[in-house]
Amino acid sequence: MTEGANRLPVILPAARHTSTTQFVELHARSAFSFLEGSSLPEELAVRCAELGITAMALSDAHGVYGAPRFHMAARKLGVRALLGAEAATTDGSRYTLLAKNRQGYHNLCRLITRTKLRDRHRGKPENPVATQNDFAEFAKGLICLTGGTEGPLARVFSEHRGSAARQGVQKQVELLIRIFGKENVFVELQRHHRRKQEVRNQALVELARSMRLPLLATNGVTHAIAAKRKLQDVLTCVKYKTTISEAGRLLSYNAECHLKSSAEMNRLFADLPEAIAHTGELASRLSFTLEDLGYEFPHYPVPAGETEISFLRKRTDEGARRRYQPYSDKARRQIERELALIGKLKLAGLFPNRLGHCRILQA
Amino acid sequence: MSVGEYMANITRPLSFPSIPDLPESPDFAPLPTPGLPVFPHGLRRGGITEIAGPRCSGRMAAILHILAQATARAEVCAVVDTNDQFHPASAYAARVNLASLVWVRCGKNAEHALRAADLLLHSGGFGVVVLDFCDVKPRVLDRIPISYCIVFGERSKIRLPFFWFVVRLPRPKPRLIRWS
Amino acid sequence: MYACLYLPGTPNGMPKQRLVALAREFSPEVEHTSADTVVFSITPLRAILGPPYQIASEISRRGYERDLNAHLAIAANADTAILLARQFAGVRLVASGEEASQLANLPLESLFAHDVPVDPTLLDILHQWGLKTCGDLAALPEAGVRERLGLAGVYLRNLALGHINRPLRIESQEAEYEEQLELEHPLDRLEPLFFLFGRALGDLCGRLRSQSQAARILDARLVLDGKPEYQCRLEFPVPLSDSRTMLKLLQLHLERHSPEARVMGFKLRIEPVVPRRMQNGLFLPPIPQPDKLQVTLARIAGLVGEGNVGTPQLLDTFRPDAFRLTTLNGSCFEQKPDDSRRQILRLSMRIFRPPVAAHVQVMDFVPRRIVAGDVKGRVVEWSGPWKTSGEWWSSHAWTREEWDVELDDGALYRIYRDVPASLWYVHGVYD
Repeated sequence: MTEGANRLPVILPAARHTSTTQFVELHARSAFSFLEGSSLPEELAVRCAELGITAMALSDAHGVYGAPRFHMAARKLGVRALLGAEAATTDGSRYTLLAKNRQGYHNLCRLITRTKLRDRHRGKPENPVATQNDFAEFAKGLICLTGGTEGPLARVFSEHRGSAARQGVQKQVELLIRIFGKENVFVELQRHHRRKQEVRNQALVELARSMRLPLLATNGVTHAIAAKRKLQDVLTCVKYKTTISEAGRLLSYNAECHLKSSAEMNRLFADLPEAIAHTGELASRLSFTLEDLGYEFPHYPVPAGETEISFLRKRTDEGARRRYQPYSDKARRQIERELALIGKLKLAGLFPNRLGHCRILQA
Repeated sequence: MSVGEYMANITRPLSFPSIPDLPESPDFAPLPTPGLPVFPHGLRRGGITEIAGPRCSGRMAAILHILAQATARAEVCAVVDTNDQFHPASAYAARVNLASLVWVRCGKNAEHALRAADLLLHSGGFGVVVLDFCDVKPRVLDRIPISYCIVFGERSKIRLPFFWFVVRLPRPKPRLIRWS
Repeated sequence: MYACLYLPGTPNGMPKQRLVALAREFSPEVEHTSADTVVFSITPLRAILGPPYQIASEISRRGYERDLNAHLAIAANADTAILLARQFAGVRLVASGEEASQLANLPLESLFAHDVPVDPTLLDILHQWGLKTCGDLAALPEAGVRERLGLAGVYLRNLALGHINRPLRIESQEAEYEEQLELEHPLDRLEPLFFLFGRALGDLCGRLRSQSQAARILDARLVLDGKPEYQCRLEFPVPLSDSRTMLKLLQLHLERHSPEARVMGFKLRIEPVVPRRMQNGLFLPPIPQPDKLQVTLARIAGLVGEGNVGTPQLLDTFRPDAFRLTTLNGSCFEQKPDDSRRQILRLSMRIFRPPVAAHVQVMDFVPRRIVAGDVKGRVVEWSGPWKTSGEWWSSHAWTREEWDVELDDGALYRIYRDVPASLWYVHGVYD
């Protein structure tokens, strides 16, 4: 048999591998994914710190509720808390979305809000579903991962085989590219030591290479440590309203969906080092954390060639000349000091707004 | 890469040392089995087909494929499993309809297997009856009285509507038995 | 058309049961008019047995066989049939339209003997009027009768005319299929017992078939000499109505589990179901006859053990090689050919049961050499580890690391390491 192409998927052993690329976990669910995660955000943050993972993205299902707690805990431990969420689609799969910047966070929140409000009157707010139009509307600033077993590609693989599956997956990826843009779509690979998953992974690697898309390794984390798998199984039973002895294949296949260290992930993806390398690169592109959440005042439309502060400076100058006659140095210094403070606090947009209001009142 | 491709690459070729020549007679009821190139004419209904080969030669894959096709035609099939090696999950994966399959686990008793097969034969109406002798020790096989072969041979002559497979270990000199 | 059977002089309930049994041979719906009278519809029988006189002769023949000296009357409505059957011995047939003339000679008392909602004092009034027979009452004008006697009078007049058409009053009651026998001499061999079973089952099956039913469960209880009762419950995946098949299955069961003491008596009970009806297509493949197959499988079970023959059913769990053997479901006889199944050749396994303990040489976490019985060699290609674990809450918990390995002899095996015990096994071979 020929080398390489016909080889069964092989996970290489640890001893062969020496160099370790920094791995960032970008797909993790906390207990804030209702019944779909068994670790609190704090536990995830602590485990990250223990494993030496410098950054992690929390992507809970249908919400960002866990983000503040995760952010607070991670900040104390020196872990960068990135932000994302899983959004369900109409076909039953889930897109894993990560906020690239402030706008991305904005859009993510608005997307989730829209889906939840839409379903409110149907009485099923726990299963919000976003349409392709919703995704298209709020795609800016978001990174889309193709997901694990609940992702859109895994769904295609479960429904089709052979060439039909390949075509279906390609179509699905093309759709994602159309919505999010090519540079924002990553083909996600997870390795939980399952045969079926590995068959799927091989197909995805082939697809990513043919479509020139970046591969991204994640571990689809649902619990911080392996021992929490038992709790996860119990939560699954609660979710499906069944007993643990009757839950059967609803339960987890093994206890691999926990946070793994860089070394472990490097070993798992020894044949695909780029998938690990891309996690670090992508994490550096995700500039948004809750640190940047401070309130920003509405902007004021200024004439071309002007910034808000220069516009404010001119209006102030005009007003001061009317107010101070003579326009003393003392007043000039005071105004200068206050403008500098306004500039520093990014409040330049606020005052022209107020000026507009005053003019309206005067009129 | 699919497992099928893998198997095609890794497993050694199937050998069918004792498939009887297909007679050119109107009695011959061929049944095409597309996808199984080793049976270009199909399998003879009411005949005995012996499939032999070393380990990993695809014996089980061939059997499951034939069972899958037969059960897809709504036939009831039976597997007489001498060494208790049948794997229902593999059969399911090969698209065998397990609901119309009778599995007889003989617990390594070749004589029970032969008698069970004979009983199934008497019962009649089966699409395929598989008698699996894989991994049965040659000395056990040698002890099987030839009368069984004659009994089965008689059945095949009266053209009962079933197939009869004997899957067995390779022998240094395969016995070629012609039933016609 | 309705037939009425009347058995004169029946003080206790026993003859009624025989009467009902006779009626039930002809119709599943029998009205138990009174302790000595039953009525049933014979309209559906016309297609099978022919004109009413042939039906009548068949009923009397069966009655004669059963030694029942009953009166039989057949008429277009139930009440006429009842009135006539009670009055005349033998067989009486009334053609449609002749009811009034046939009833004309009946004394008026017979109308009141009938189970009718009428005040019995009316009879005295009618007698005072000088009426003696049904014909006399029928001859009166309807308006005059209504004026003087009200609706009850009109009803009686219509009854005398044979004009009352009412549906049968069927009591829905579950038929009991039970036969029991107490033996005068205890039996210590099974053969004579089977002979008695054969007769009892023949009777039961005859009754089943007459009701268009079949047996789902046969419950046999043997009274033993000095030992507790012997119980055996045979459940048929495909409902049976053939006594010989049932006897054979019972025989196979008893031969495998013979009673511990002499048999003093037995009770056979059948739980009936409506049998499945299906028509095989002309071009569908042949399938085993359900009853014959059940006997065959019971024989094989006697050979290889009860739990070792059946239809495999995969269990809803990730536990490796989890299956259950179930009895052949009747649905397999109703399969439709399914052309949508794709023809694929897949990698298939043979499982070693129990798994073969193996010595595995591990280097760099990867198995390199295996020795396990006749499975031995150097690993040239491998894939894994595939990890699976589950049922951590029960004693069946498992944690495994599986590897697919190709040995230098070209064979492909699945081996696994039982993680808690840290032992290696060969689970099976890809064949």
